[in-house]
Amino acid sequence: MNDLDYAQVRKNLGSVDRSPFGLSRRRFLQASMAVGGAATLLPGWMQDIFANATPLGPTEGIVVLVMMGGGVDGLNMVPPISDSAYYAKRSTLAVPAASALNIGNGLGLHPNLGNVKQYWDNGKTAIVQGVGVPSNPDLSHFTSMANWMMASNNPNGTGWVGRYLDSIGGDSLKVVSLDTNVPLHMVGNTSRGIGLPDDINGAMGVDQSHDYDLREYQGIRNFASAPTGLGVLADQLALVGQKTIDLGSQIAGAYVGPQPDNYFAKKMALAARLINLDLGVRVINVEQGDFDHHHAEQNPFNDRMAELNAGLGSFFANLSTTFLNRVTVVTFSEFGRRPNQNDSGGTDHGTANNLLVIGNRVKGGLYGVRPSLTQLDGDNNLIANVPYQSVYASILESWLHTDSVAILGTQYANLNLFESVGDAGASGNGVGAGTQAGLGSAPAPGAFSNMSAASGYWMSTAGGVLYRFGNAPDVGTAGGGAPIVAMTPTSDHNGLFVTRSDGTVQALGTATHHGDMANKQLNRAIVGMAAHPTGEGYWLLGGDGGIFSFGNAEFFGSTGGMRLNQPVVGMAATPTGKGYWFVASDGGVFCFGDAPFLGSMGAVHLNKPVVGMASSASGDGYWLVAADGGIFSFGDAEFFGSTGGMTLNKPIVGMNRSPGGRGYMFVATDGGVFCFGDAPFQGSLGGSTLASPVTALAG
Amino acid sequence: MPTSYGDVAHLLRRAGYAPTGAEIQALTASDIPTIVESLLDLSGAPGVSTPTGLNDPNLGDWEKWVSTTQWWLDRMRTTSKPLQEKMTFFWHNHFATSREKVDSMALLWQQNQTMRTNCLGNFRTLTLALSQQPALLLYLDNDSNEVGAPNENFARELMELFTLGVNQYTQADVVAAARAWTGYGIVGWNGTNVDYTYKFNAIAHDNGNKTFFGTTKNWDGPGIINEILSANLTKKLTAAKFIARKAWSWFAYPNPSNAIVDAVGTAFYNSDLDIKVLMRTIFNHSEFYSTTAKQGLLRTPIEFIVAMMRYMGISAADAHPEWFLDAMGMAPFTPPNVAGWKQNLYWVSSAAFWARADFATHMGWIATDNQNPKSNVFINIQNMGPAAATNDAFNTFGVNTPSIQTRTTLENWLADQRGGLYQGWVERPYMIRMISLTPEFQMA
Repeated sequence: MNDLDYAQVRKNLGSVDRSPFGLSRRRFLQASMAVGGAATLLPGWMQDIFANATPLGPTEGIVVLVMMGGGVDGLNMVPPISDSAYYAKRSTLAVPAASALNIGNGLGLHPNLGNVKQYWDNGKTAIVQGVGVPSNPDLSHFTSMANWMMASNNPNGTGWVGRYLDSIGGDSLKVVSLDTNVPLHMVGNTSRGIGLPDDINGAMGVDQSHDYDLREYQGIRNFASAPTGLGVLADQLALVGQKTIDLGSQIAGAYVGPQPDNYFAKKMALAARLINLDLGVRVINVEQGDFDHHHAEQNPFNDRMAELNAGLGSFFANLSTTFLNRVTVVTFSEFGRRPNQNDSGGTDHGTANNLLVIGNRVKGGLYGVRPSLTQLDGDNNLIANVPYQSVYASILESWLHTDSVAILGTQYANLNLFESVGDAGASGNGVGAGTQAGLGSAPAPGAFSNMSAASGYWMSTAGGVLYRFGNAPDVGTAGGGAPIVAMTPTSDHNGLFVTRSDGTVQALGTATHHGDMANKQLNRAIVGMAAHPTGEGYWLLGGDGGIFSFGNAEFFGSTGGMRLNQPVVGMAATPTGKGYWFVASDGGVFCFGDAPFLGSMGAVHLNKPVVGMASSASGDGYWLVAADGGIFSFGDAEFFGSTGGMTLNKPIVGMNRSPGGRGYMFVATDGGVFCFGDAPFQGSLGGSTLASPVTALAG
Repeated sequence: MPTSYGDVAHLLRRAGYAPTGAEIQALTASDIPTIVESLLDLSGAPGVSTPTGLNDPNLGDWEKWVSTTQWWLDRMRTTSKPLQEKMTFFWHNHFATSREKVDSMALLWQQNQTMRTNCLGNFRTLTLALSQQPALLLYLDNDSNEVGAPNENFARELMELFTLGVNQYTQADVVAAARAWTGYGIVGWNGTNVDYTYKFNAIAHDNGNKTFFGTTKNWDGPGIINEILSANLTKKLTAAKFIARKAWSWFAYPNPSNAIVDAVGTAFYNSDLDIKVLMRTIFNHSEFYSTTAKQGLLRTPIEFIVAMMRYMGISAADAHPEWFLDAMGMAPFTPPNVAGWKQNLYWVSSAAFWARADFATHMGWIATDNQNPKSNVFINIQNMGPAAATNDAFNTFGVNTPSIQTRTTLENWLADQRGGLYQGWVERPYMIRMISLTPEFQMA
């Protein structure tokens, strides 16, 4: 297909500007050569009846996509100010090193991105470098944008956000386009997002300022005041009128307040206010552009950058603190631009690009590899190293908490861009009160300095040999003694508590010893432990359900005096430190303090005994793991996979929640490691010869 | 024997778009079979002239689509034989072909005219004609269906969607049909550009033996259609019932009983697939006048737009439906995919409601624009009481069975509106918008 200009692309991949929503799939479906056989695809985008407002839970993430149409010049957005090749190729267009906002690593930000610089300094901005299509990138706006929107080899004319919407029930209000049309990426198989006008006049029911409108709204509502007597279809028509007027009034509040002059800032303010209304919106798309600057790029690009900056500022200024930790802004564009400027003072279509991810729970920093400016592809373009789908996988898995493979068709690497959503994350990486002010107001430098350690883990054999993987720091050795039965890291991951069957506790690294049961009378051997969230204390668990608490860890009860069907095998503390669970080998769960009972396997016949447990980040759920790697999830602890159907060489002995909270890992007695969800695999002892079995995992 | 006003109104709405009270009243003296024959007789249909923009070399693809779409919607609005357009659209939806892939309005217009010419003719003739034209072949990739590299898209849809329905053939039959259809495409590259003229490219045709529905021979493409729709009587009856079910669904109500499908489909089969017999059987069927049928369909966006244009006397050139059709989800020549558009609840959602309201708002304003009013509906509303104004709205917009609360709602709305500050200017455009958003007006 010949290339189209950007306006034409949006006409094809979106819709007319005239109406409160539009279609992309129909236009796209047949324009795309890739989807010829989609004969029986049900275009059910209108079957969602009407949008329902459903408030979100505190750990449900929200994404605002900034769609930079036309191909944003990522090289001038994040200029490589110490790379002479950049200045050689951009003789008049390069951002001078002196005016760029230096962010270290030889990079700057465009001088108009002052807000982004502040977010960067606060540790709230991830810059993903080299994003694009790693091989055979397409240089047409149409094909490239369509690929970014669809993000699947078998899209059936659907987009990745649309398929996500399908997966969460299809209520169209969960996916919102603020451009009075619904672009292709927000169209699913059975549902689609809703286009909300960026202006108060676009959707009946929104404008509440005129008495004559209110009278008419009431009239339309009244058509549904009783059955029509004309059958169910007529009743449905009356009802959808009423519901839509109601929806208009529900979203009306988002249109009240200062209206920035700039169209993008106005929409970003609207996006923030829409989120504040807590109607259940998960993804919002806001368009910015056109960025297709083939000619005289400098001035318009400077304007666009100022616009982006103002829009981000407007967004965070309008966003309620309630949502500050639950929202991430992600930019995207169909491609970057060519390193060499052209003869018209502009740049032509390129490939790999820089992409910004900004939010209070974003792990700030650089991701991906900066593409070389001298080793280019056959079109003199940058070579991408991060597939754009990886960014989506990261969002889907770690921020929207869903199965990325189901949506993208393939497992792409999770870039691990996010802390857990909301305030409930128990990973404790120093993102405390200081970060509340991180966006929109005072800087909170260094907020994520310790983050890297959390992605590593330790394991130990019964005999006391300690192994570490990934970024897990060297905390010393455990040595011999009674068999090691459990380990728990400190909240900063720089220390480790090691527990032995005789009740001995060792505090390694920065961990502080608060006492133990060494040399004391135990009815049953110690089988587990949990650290207090502060790291200043811990509980030890006996096989009879006896609890021994130390330091800040308080006693909330035990089964020490009860007769249990089966021995207790593991425990987990709640995020507050005000309670704990333990689990018996038959899957029975016992709750103490503020630990909620969310179900157990006590009455169910299990194939293999339960050997461990972990709580969800929120404390409103938990997983139990059986010796065969079967997983039983309860409450908000989601199922990310198991080895229940596999034949394992050796039994599983323990599990951990992942640092991101969106996954878990198991370890088997032979040191084999199994990672699910966002749990990063950093290595295992599988295949090694061990003097004694692995018995404990910490991470 | 006279026919009730309600039955005539129902028949004219389903066989056309938006009958006026006078049109309905004029037919009540006749019996149903007589009215049906008059509807089926297309001999008085207005002549067809090519849409003005279609051959204008200065116009782009979008403008050509606008010109053709306006032409068609105006014809729906003004024709004395609306069933011709209703049937043409039915076939457009059945043999769905989109300009998003067939990037030529000229080819789609050619197809549209073939559908119109054969709209009440023989179904086999129609299928054979459409299958040997560029539009459908290009849409379903048959231009790349060549010997040694068969593309099954067209062959599969020919059976699954156009004639037999799912599970009436095997994958082996699809492969055989695809091989039989190799070579049917376009002239192609002629040295300077792509020539989209239909051509059977003999060199690309697979002349080997294929086994289709148990018969092994050197099948060709039209032979496949003749087998399904003529020679193989079992398949022909299946096809007749498949089409009967779909026609009933679009003209009466979705999901008819097997008894109705059998009755209508057998009549269609016995007529050698004469579409006129198919429609006659449907329109004369007592079940067509049941409550289920009368309450069984809502207006599709195109029917909604055409009804507003017709009742308000506003042309497509003034109404600019092209600004709204896409948002409403039903742009002609742009079906969502080869399965076409869906029905009823497919069009019920907040987004769809907003899109209809947006068009109704637009119609209200262009009708009453002080500088350049396009309609005189409700011109005297300010001199009428709420009850009279409401009755006038029902009559003008063809609502002959308003519910009690629709009537009282409109009356109360107008009374309330008049109870406030003087805002007489509100009454006309808002009455236009409200009557068009009543559930009654949205029903077909």
